[in-house]
Amino acid sequence: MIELIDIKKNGIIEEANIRIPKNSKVVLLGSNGAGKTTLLYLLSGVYLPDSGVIKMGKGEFNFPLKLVDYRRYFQFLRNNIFFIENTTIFHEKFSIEQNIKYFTSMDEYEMDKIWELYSQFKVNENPSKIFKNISKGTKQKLIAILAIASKKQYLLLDEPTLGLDNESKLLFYKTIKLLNKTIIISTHDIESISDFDLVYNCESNHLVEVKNYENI
Amino acid sequence: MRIFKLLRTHFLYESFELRTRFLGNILALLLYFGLIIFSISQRSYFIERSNYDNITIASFIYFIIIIRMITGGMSSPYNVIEKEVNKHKLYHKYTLIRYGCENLIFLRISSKIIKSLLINSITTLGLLFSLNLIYDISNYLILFFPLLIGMFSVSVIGYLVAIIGIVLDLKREMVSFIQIIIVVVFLQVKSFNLLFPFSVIRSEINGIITSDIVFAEVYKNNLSTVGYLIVTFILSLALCYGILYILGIVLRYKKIKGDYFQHEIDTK
Repeated sequence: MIELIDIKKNGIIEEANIRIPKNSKVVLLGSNGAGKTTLLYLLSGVYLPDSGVIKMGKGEFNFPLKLVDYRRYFQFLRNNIFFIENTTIFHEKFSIEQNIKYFTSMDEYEMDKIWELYSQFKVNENPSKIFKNISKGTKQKLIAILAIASKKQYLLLDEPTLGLDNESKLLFYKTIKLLNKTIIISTHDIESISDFDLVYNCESNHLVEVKNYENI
Repeated sequence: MRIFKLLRTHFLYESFELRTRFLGNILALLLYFGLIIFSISQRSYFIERSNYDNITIASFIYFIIIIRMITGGMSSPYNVIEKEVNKHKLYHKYTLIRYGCENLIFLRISSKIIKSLLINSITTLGLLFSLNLIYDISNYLILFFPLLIGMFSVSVIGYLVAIIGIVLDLKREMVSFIQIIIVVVFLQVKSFNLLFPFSVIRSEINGIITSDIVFAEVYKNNLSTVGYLIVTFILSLALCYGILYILGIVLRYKKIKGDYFQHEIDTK
């Protein structure tokens, strides 16, 4: 379960209050600059909220954090959250295989699944190809592969289907639906929202739960 | 176990980095060792060396070592932190690094310092061999330890400069200017001031070089100085790690409006 109570971040997020049950699939919608990415940053610890409370699983964290709580908070994030922002996280001069090896050496992944997904997502590139020479769509597929193969309980993904072809997009949504994990994604991809348990819309720095999709 | 996994990740990164510029790296290494071997093979013999010559040579070698030590220790933290934070966006990958960003950056900087130390030591030894100045090689093995401790203690200031540069978004030129001022301050400090570990390390290095080149004897370590240096080393490591930890917290509390819109532009 993830619960945010009165979370604020310097004017971008104003009093966010959400409650996400365990293993829910959540989508964040909203126009550019509405605060979707910031919310993911706050949940993943890239930035810390100015005030409010975050409850995740057994952990409860009051912001601003006390000095003694930093270590506990960061450890909790490292052990439970998987957050990928965009393709810039990869090393452009490394090959596909080297990037995968490097990232998987830093965290826990289901290694067999990675190469299985590599062929399922039809990544038609030689793994020894240098990363800067591959297309944006292929880079995005690699993000999807890493996310699905991660052993973490909470997956946070910022526009994971950006640049994916329709077939890969469908495969991605189909696969994450089957995962026994809490997944939060931000997207502009309105057609796919029926696949999710909860839909939040970011509007003028506030989060609003959307119950009737036709309003969007 | 965790430290081994972290080391594995680091060596994997180093090996991939090496492979990306394989030809350039191999050529540079060949040129470097070629020059050293060539200098040693052409070594000259100063048969008649006066005390004045010896003191001049010792001062020259000492000065080279100290300058290399300060610049290496001072610049490595900023170079690594700037690259990891601004270019590789390491804090944005925080949750993908189970062993911690701080640990990874700390390991990268330490590895860079050690590499720089090895290059400095080999260059100095090559220079001394080629000038046929070595009386007893054991003096230079002893020299390795104050050099290592010196680089790590200087790096504390390098970490501080780096954190100021990154948090205030200073330009590289400005950071280099601050570093140069600090190098000058370091060179001005009087020898053997116990409140300033660098001065003790400097005296120790001077003592070793003078013993070998001027007095032609094996340097005898003072036990209390060795203890002092070990404490300095441990404190330096702890301070460096602490500074990195604080950097992580400060970056997360930083106002994000600018970064936020930049991200939106990047993803469009």
